[in-house]
Amino acid sequence: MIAKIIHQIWNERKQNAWLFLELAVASIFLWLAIDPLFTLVCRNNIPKGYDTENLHYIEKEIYADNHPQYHDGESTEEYVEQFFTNIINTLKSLPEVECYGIACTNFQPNDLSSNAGGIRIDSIQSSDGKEHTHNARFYSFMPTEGSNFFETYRVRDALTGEIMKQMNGVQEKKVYVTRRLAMQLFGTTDIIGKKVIDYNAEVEIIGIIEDMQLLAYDEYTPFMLRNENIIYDKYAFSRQDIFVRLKKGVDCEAFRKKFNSDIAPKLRNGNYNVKGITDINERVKRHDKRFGITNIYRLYTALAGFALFCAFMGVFSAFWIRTNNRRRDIGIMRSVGASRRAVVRQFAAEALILVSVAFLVGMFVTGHYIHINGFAEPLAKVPTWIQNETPDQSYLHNRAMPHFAIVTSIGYLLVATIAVAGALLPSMRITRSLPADALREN
Amino acid sequence: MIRQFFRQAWIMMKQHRLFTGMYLVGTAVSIALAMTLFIIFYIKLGPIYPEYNRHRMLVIEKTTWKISQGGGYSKTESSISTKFADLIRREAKSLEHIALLGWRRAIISNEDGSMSTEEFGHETNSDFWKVFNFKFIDGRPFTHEEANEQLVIISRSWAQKFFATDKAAGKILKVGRANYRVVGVVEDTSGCSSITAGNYWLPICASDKSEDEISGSYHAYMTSDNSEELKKEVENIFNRRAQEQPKEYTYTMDIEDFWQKALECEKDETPLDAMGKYLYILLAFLFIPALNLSGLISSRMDSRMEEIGIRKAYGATNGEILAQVLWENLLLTLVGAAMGLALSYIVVYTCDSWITTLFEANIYIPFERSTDVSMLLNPIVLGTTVAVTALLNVSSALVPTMLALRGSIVEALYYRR
Repeated sequence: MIAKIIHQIWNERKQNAWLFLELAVASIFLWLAIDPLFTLVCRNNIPKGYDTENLHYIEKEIYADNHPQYHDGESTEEYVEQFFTNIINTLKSLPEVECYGIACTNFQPNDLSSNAGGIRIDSIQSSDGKEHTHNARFYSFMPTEGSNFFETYRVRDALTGEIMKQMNGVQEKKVYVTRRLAMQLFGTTDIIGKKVIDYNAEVEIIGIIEDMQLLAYDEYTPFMLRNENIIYDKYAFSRQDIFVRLKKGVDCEAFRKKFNSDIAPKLRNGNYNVKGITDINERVKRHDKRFGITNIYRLYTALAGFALFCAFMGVFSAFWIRTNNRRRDIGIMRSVGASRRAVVRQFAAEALILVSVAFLVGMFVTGHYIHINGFAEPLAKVPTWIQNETPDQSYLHNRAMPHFAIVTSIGYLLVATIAVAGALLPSMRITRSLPADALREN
Repeated sequence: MIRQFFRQAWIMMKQHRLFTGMYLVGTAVSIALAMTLFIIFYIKLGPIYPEYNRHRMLVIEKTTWKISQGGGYSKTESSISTKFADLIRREAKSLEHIALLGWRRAIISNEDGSMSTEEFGHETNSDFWKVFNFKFIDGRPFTHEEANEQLVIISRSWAQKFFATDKAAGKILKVGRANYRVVGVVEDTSGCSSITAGNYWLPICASDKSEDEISGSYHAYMTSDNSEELKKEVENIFNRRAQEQPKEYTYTMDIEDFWQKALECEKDETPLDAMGKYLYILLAFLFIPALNLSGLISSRMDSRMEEIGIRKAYGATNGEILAQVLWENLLLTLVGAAMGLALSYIVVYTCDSWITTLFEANIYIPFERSTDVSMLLNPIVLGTTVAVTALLNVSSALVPTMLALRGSIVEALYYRR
């Protein structure tokens, strides 16, 4: 059967040459369009390390001196402190609030404004007896009485898997690091009590937090989490945010409406005002739009859609017309006793063989291209302070062979399905008519 | 003769509906995507209201100053000061105009405070109205002499919003807590006008400023008939002024053509480098469908071999048959192109708020992007559609037809046997 089909393909080599070329190019194009989308989807689906369900933050505003609501002398530190105290006392009194936490304003998914720098470990602390510096981001939270940042964001302890316990009050010169940073610095997570140099100050590690994907373009950005006091100065607004987790089962939309209309206006103090409470996912969407991440998803989805459309139009129509042009062959096959099933099977097999060989040639070219240029990095252009140094090899998409194999399989399945459908549908239609009709129609 | 080709093509279109349908859809989608891409870049780079001088514009949006202190340094990025702009105006011989533009967020309200809105606006100088060609519906631009007065120019939609009339010149608006007199009303801009989008413009001197000799908070847009010469002149002025600063200060300045800013180019990137990254998308939009269409035409040529043999037997040359196929094909491509262009207009017009930002890494402009007829229906866009259509037609039909014409008359007549 296979030999007969190959013979048939060879006999029609002139007609099949175009088809073959088209299939090979479609395979390459489709592969290159699927690759970035595959990376995006994989990155998007790794565990986030935090939970944004029911998570909100308080949107604050400060009236500048050109604002009609501005009042002279009401921007002092006393006003800032009273303003924060008002908000916190109100949150404590609301039955819908499960917990709240205070952290630096950029501790939010996909917020690219961030501090970053080198963290040093000296030769005594390091496992190989050499001094090391690793780049990391810096975030901070403010462990005020009654607040619980870890609980609010559901930050987990990498050693126990439980929600990280927040200590009471600020622990001077003590920090938390993520699992990835711990591994980069020491090659182990067993580093509680060890010391690192943060800028010029020596700090002690008091907790290893589970990796968190705070930036969509990266996997797990290594970061250090400091704990600090709230400072009620003129920068307090741009420095710290209040995050709020609502209890499970609370109607978040109704709560937001109630808070924004009834509660927020009462929280104003001097030139400081609460604009409202906002779902953290809304802010993530804003960041994604602002930094072009949404556009990157749109662009690559559109390109993949276009590639699929082209593959469908080109391959499907080519096989359809090719099969239609061979009505006489089908008529002859049927008149000498071939069953409908045998004819359809032969055409499907021909399509499959042609696709497979063309795809193989296409993948040879694609493989060569990937060898030179690497896999697509669709989010590489997003502005950043620091990017992950070493992609996690435990993820399939970061390993060359599985990555190539998965994208190739997806591409092959798509092209093969389209080609087989393009050959099957007309051949089934033609075999339904009488052999004499098939011969005459030609 | 051509009429006859078209007639034959029309009959064949009706006979082979599947082929025609597939060919038209393939062509339409290809043209639609290529033209959508082209329109996006036309809006980014082309002359759109009121930024008609983009092709002869130089931009300074960033200066950097580094202060060295005890082994380390601190670095600050800003734009330029009005003092430095004045220096350029005085000394650069190739300069035509230099527009300054700063952002300002303020609460704007009508006189009795019954209506107010908080929005980003611009602080500008008098040259701004010469570099950018706004259409004044009422009033006039402010002049250099009026820089210290509390004046404001507003868009048509704001004139309607606050005063329910386009003729708002002379009326009073509150910017923050101060009264500003409206001196002009201009036609609305779109968020697609990357520099000028906004609803209100104030004279620069009306706001507070504390500036040094170079760095400040204003972007500069300069027009000249000799951009290269102006670039050199401004760089010389900058270097001279930078050297006059204290030793521990190091200044750098980014001066670029408008297209470099629009395409977010790296320094020293050529137009080809900048466009190269988008070129592969355009090629994919054209090449892949062209190959698909070639495949379709190739299949159809197989079934027309007897016809070609007969025509050759009666004396037709290869050139005549090739011309016939290309003309026939052109009819189909033209119909597909018209569908495609209409589709691209629908796509751009309905998705303009985000599709025009598609190739931007950072989206700073806080105004809604909207397209208008002049951005879509203009000679450049239409001319490009014709060129792309012709390219697609020739690239898809030429090779399969020439391959089909290679054989002898007998081979063509007996092709199917």
